[in-house]
Order: sequence, then C-alpha cells, then structure tokens
Amino acid sequence: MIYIWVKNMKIKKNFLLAGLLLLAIPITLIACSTEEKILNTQRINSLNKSLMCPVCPGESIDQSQNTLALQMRDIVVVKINEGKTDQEIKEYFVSKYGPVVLMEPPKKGIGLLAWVFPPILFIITIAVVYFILFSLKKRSRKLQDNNKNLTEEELQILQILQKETLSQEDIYSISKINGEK
Amino acid sequence: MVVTVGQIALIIAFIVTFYSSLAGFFSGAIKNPKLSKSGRWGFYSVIPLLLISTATLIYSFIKNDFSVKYVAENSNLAMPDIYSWVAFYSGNEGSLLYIAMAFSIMGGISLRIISNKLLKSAPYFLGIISLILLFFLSVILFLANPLETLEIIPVDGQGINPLLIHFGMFIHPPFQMLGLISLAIPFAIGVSTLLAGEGGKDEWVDQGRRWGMISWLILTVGLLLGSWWAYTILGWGGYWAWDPVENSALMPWLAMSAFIHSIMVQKRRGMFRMWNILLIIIGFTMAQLGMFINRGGPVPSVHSFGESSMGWVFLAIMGITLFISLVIFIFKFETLKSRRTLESFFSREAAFLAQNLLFLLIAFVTLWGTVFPIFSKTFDEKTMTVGQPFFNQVNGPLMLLLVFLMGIGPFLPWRKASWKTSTKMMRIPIFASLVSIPFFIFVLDIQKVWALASFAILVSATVGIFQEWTRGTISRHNKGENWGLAFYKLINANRPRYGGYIVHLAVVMLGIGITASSFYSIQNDFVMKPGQTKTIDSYSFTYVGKEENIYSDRKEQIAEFKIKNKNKDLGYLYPERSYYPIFRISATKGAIHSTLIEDFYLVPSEFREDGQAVFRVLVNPMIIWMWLSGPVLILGTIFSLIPSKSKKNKSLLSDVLKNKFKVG
Repeated sequence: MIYIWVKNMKIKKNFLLAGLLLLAIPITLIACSTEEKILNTQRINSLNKSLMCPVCPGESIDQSQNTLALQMRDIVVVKINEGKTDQEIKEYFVSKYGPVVLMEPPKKGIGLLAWVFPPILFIITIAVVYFILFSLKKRSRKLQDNNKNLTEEELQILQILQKETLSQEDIYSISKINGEK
Repeated sequence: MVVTVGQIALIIAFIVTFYSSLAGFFSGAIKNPKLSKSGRWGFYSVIPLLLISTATLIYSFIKNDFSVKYVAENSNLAMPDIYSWVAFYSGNEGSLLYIAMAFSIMGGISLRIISNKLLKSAPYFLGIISLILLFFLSVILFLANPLETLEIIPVDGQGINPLLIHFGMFIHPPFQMLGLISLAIPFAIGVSTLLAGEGGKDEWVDQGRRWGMISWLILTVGLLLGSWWAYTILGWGGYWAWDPVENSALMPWLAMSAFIHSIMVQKRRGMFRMWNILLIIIGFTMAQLGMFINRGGPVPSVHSFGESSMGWVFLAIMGITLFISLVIFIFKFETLKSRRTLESFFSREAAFLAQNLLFLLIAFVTLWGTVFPIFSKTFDEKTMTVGQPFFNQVNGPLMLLLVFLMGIGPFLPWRKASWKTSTKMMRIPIFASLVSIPFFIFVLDIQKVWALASFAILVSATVGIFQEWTRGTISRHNKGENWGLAFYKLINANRPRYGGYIVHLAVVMLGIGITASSFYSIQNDFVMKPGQTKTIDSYSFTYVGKEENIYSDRKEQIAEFKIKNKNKDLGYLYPERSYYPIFRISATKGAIHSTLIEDFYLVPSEFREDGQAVFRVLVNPMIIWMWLSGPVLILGTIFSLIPSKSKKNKSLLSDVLKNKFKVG
C-alpha cells in the first residue's frame, strides 16, 4: 500500500517536474536577453569545437560538413536549451561514442599523460640549455687563459676580428697594427 | 602508347641514378674527379628523363587516356584540362613522380653549385642525393607506378577529388611536397661534409645555410598557402586545425627554423658545429616522418588524398636514414669540436641556443600530440583524439615565448652583452609595450589575458625592429649620408641580419592575424529564406536568392548576398556549394569581404528542399594580415640570401692572420 503510494508520489513528482520544465521553457525563452543568447552562441561554438565528428577523422563537429556532424550540432543546441552543463553534454557524447569524441584527451587516466608530458619536456629543455651553456662556459675559461700569451697588438687585432662584420677600415687598421709589428 | 615512353624514361632514370650514387660514394673514397664528374652528369641527365615521364602522364590526363590506371582513378571527362596539373599529383603514385621530378631539378641545381664550392664533399653529396632519388624511383617503379596501364579501358574516369578543385591547389601541394623533400639538400650538404672529414672547417656553412633557407622558404609558402586554401575552401572559417598531416609539415618547418638561426652562429662564430649537423638530421627525419604520416599514416587525417598502404616503406627508410646519419655523426664527432666557446650566458649565442631548443620543444610536443592516439591505443586500448584545443593550450604559450625571444634576441650582441647597453636598447620596446597595454584594454576592449600578452609582446618586437632600423640609419646619417642612402647602406651592410628583421616583421604580422582571429572571431549559423536579412556584429546581410547549375559531375548552388556594414553598402557576395554525387562530397567556396581590420566570411552549409538555407557567418578580425605576411616573408628571406659583403672582407685577410686568429 505504502509502496504504491510512494511510487505514485514519485510519478507525480516526475509529472510535476516535467510540467515545471515545460513551463520553464517559454519563461526562459522570454527571459532570455540578447546577452544570454550571445553567451549561448559562444557556448555552442566552443562545445562544437571540443567535440569530434566520429566519422570524419580529425575534424570537429564545428568544422565538419558531414550530416552526422550537423545532427550532433543540433543535439548540442537541444541539450543546452535543456539546461545541461558543458560537462554533462560532453559526458553524454562520450557515453555514446567513447572518449575519442573529445577533441582533447581527458585530464585523467592515460589521457593525463598527454598533458603532463609537454611541461616535463619543457623543464628538460631548460635543463639541457643550462647544461650546454654551462659546459661551454667552462671550456671558454680555458681558452681565455690561452689568450694570455698574445701580445698587446695581437689582442687588439683579435678584438677587431671578433666584430660581426669587418669594414674596409677594419681591414686597414689590422694590417696597420700587423705591419707595425 | 605515350606512357610507354615515360615508362622507359623512368627505367633509364633508375639505372642512371643507381650509377650516380655509386660513382658519388666511390669517387669520394678514392678521390677520382673523373668518376665523380661522370656521376654528376648522370644525375643531370635524370632531370630530362623524369620530365619526359611527367610530360607523358600529363599528356595522358589531357587526352583523357583512361587506359592509364592513374588517369582513370584521378580524372574524368568533365575535368577541365587545366586541372591535369593538379590531378598529376593528387594521388599517391603521381605525387611520388612529382617529388622525384622536382627533387631531381633542385638536386641538379644544388649539385652544380656545390661541386664548384665544396670540392671535397661534392662527391659524397652526389652520392647522398642520388640515393634519396633512387629510393623514390624504386618506390615508383616497383610499388606505385603512375604510368601503369589497365587491360580493360573504362569509358570515364573516377574524377579528381572535388576538394582539390581550387586555385590554391595549383601551388600548395607542389610547394609543400617540394619543401619537405628539399630538406634533403641541406641534410646531404651536412652529412657529406662529415663523410669527407671536413666537419672541422666551416666551409659548408654558407651552402648549408643557403639551401636550408630555400627549403624553409618553400615550406613556409606551402604552409601559408595551405592555410589560405583551408580558410577559403573548407568552409569552416578556420585555417589551421592541428591535423596530423598539418603537424607533420609543421615539425620539419620548426626544425628548419631552428637550423637557419643556429647556422648563423657557426657562420659568425664557428660554434654549434655538432648542433647544426644534429639539427639538420632531425629536420630531415621529421620531413620523412611527414611523408610517412601523409601516405598511409596511422593517424586519421583530413589530408588523406595521397593515402596508400605503403606507409611502412617510408617509416623503414626514415629509420634507416636516421640510423646511418647518427652513426656517421658519432664516428666524425671529434672533427666537430668548436674552435670557440661561449663567453657569457648573456649573449646572442646563448639566446640562439635557447630559441633553438624552444623550436625543437614545440616540434616534439607537436609530435607527442600527433602520435599520442597510437600510444593510448597501444597501452590502454582507448582511442583518444588529440585535437586543436590540446595544441592551442600547449603550444600557444610556447610560441608566445618564442616571439618574446624573437623580440629581445637581436638586442644581445655576439660574445658578451653588457647588462647596461642591452637594457638601454630594450628600454623603448618595453616601454612601448607597457604603454600599449592600457590602450589595448580600454580603447580596443581586449581583455582576454593571453590575447593581451600576445599583443603586448608583438608590440615590443615590432618597436624593437624599427628601433634597430632607425638607430642604424640615424648613426649613418650623422656621418653625412642622406637618409635614403643611409638606410640603404645600413641594410645592405649586413643582409642576413636585416633580411632577418624583415622576416621577423612578417612573423609579427602572422602573430597579429593568429591572435586576433583565434581570440576574437565571431561565428554563428543562420537559417535563412530568400529575402531575409540578418545581422551579426555590425554587419547586416540579405539572402537575395540562389542560382542552381547542373554539370555532368556536380550540382552547383550559388547564393547571392547583399552585405552592409554600419549602413554602408559593401556590395554582393556569392558563396558557393557544389555537390559531387560520385564522391558524395560537398565542396564549398566561402565568400569573403576582406579589410585590414576584419573579414566578413560567409559560407553555405546546407541548402534545404523547402528553399531555406543554412549559412555560417564569421567575422574574423585581422586575418588578412596572415596572408599579407607571406610576401613580406618571401622578400625578407630572399634579401638575406643575397651574398653578403662581410664575407668578402674577411677573405681579404692574409692566410697567416686567418690561421693565427682562426677566422673562417
């Protein structure tokens, strides 16, 4: 007895909810200011861009001209109007087509690896840059010691030679220094 | 049969190339100039042979000779003759012949120059490029022959992929394919230098840089044209989707970008010898990886035009090339020790190194994203997609960092920068960038943080470049030259550098276009009846009506739109949509009203039975700057390729001095 009553209540509750929802649609439609509409367009676009069209490899449903993509775009609009969140809509498509439908790998499970690797590589790169520069610098000190043997004039020439480009005057002054010696 | 002639030409070319590669390596080893000369002439003679094969194939296209299998598969009676050129490389077999033909020409030109400039390594160079050509010729002859004939001749061909019917297709694929294969030339220059034991001399640097830049330029033009094609024809309003094949063309481009910078360090300072060789090996490997992904690659892509089942051949040859190059590299390691080393962490050399690794980092992150789906499938049995949002988030900031380095790098002098003078030089750019931020926020209403950061960095880079130009011009003007002459002399005194600045300016333009359009594009789909007017942003557009034309291969629908912006008439736009029943593909042609500020972009996504139609309308800000950057970039690259005077001056020094101070 009680069971049936409870069940009825549940059904009633569902009816009530459904009724409220039906009511809510025109109300929200009326209440929808242009701003919200723009917001919705943005949401639709970004959702379309984050979902892949399952039959046209590599293309998002926003990008694809395929009929399935068109249908999926319609579903996105319907779900947004139903008041579903972005996450819920994405989950809906994942449950239908698998994680492949998401344009970016999920940030959990093995998908997390896709996201973690680039920053690790970045850190490694910095380390490599530092290591190379450091070892080059170390060798450079040795070389500088070698230059100690050079005479005053030779050091002058070295300085000119290390300029990025040599002008006619540079060549002239080098031969002058060299000639005097 | 015409193709028989082509077939015979191919076989002769194969034999001659085989001879040339042997002659190259042997004459290098036994130092026999006669043998090497005969090998060279062998290579030159391959050029007309491959041109003949190409000509017979194109002729068969024009004559609609469907007894040739490749012609039957890639064209039909309805295809206009002019598209024979596009059809020629639209499939796997034909594109291989195109690559072989184009590579033989470019290889021939480079061989002619190298054999005059780099006497010792030229024979090995001949051997290497002949081997590469031989690979393509054997694939063509034994696995994928475009000149193969059919026993039963079909009445009509299957037709060309309708997406390829576009003006851009005349140049984008040939540039892209040539760009990828042309990487073989600087690669061959580098490796032949190693083989000849010349790694310790920097003689190869000029040629390596030159050919590296040429192949970088071809790749860049190919990428830009590809983006432009995607933007105008694929009908989604974007230009870059981080698709596997796009990535595989971007990766070698990134490696080459690193190479053409770091080779300057070797040219000027005699440093980074090993690094440059390694970079060019990485670059060529990535180019081969690109070919593998493009032809029967494991990752799904929109570019599956040249798809085939022979991906493994390319993967195998990539592995072999990489292995052999690395073995040579390790064996000749000792010869590559630099004669100079780093003097300061705060120098242009150090900045170049950081920038180089950043380029490679982006390339490897891109590679990681591209192959991750295979990875996840192998280890977790989950198929995942790594698409645009991933790459935008991961590569976006890295690229921004790169542009930042591009801005400050040129202010650091070679060897050692003093903190004081460098910061003095950076004062104006940084000031300009800080001043621009409130301007962007309050006047232009740019409030997204990343967009703001990007624009601020672009401002500092631009101001920095112009500061360099004005500073140099003023100092020359003060010495008594008039303004025009001062500027002319300034940029001519160091062409690699000032040409580089022009290219940097093109990169800034590219950055403006990419940032503005990726953050501030407005997009909406509209369902419209003829006569209806709708608005987006400040534009209003009226769907006047549509025209329908039926052709033997397609149904073409052209819509007519009247466009207004803020009540100013902008005239009519005619976006098109054609349906090709044979392919069951619809190809769209967007109609665009471009200004320097924004593009109004209209593309039909659906014409319904009831007369209604769906249109996608976008307002893409500043996108035209991306396409305009192309000519600027070409100009800058060519300018910096013109031989520079400073080299001549150094050659004026006596050999005694050169040896004493180790000047190259």
